[in-house]
Amino acid sequence: MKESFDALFKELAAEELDQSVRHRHINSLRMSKTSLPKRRKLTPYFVGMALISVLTILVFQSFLPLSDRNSAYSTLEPYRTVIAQTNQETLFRATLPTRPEAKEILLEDRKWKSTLHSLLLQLEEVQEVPGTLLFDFAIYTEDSSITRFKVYETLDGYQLKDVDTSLYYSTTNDSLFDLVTMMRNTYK
Amino acid sequence: MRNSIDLLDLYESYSDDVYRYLLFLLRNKEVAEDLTHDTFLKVHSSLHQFNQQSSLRTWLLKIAGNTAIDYIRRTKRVHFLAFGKRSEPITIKTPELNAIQKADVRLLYKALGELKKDYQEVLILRKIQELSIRETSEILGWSEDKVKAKSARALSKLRETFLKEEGTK
Repeated sequence: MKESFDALFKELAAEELDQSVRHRHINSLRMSKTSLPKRRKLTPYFVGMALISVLTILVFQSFLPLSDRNSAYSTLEPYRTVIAQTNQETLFRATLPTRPEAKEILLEDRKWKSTLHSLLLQLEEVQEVPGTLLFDFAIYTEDSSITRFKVYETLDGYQLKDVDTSLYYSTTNDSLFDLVTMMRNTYK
Repeated sequence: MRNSIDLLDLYESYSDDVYRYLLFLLRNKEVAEDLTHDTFLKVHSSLHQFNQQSSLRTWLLKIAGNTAIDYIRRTKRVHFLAFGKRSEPITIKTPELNAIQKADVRLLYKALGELKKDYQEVLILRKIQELSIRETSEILGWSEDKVKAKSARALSKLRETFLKEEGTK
């Protein structure tokens, strides 16, 4: 097994080396045109990449795979929401422990879409304020990364916590308030 | 001696090593290309600090590793969404994974990506870059004993993940 594993590693390294040869051509070209210290030449490229990332819509998975992938995540929440995508349609799927059947809301619903979009574009980092956990949700991106958020109610309103970085956010508009209202309406 | 190191020669000699390390760590070709460039920018500005106690290759890979960590920290923040018009479904994909033709190798790449980051690092350095225990310990800043122990545990976990993945095929 060890020998075959080593052989596989060699093949894997060779696969990537083929790609890196292409990469060297690209970068050699960059370097010959720009000389190394001129980093600005790369900026449009990087900005382009960032834009592609921003515009890449996210893959949303169903509820169960989330708990498979991160079981710790599945234990705490009073209720839990996952934005999900199936092959046919994009769903906003949510569930409550007391109501195991998932509520599914088509993301074609303009209000949900615009609220989430608005929310995520208006985040502003804030200091943590003591609050009560209301719900959480996760966003799956195309590169398989997951961003988890928790929404807390505070004395002044609401705050959003990025679970992985423990950074707290508020929004510069009412979108967080809207999201909370919509969540509450969903579970009426 | 230090001043006589030509940066372009350095790039020609080691850019593949740096790129491959970053590609395996970050699994994104474009990011790996950008960070390879960033790594050499850092090298350019700190070449005078190279003390020749380690090899140039290990020094470069250490800088590359730190560059990758900086990148991960920077991008670990919020990912923005855009709900534009979209009719076709989007699926999770890793372009580099799709490019690998042989099933076993593809499976290995996938299993490697599912390991903890420190396991990934040590296996990439030991098995992909084929560095010695000493070189790996210099890059990761670990003791040689720790490299040995982590390698063994990482391999064991990799094997387990690989077989599990294989079983689901």
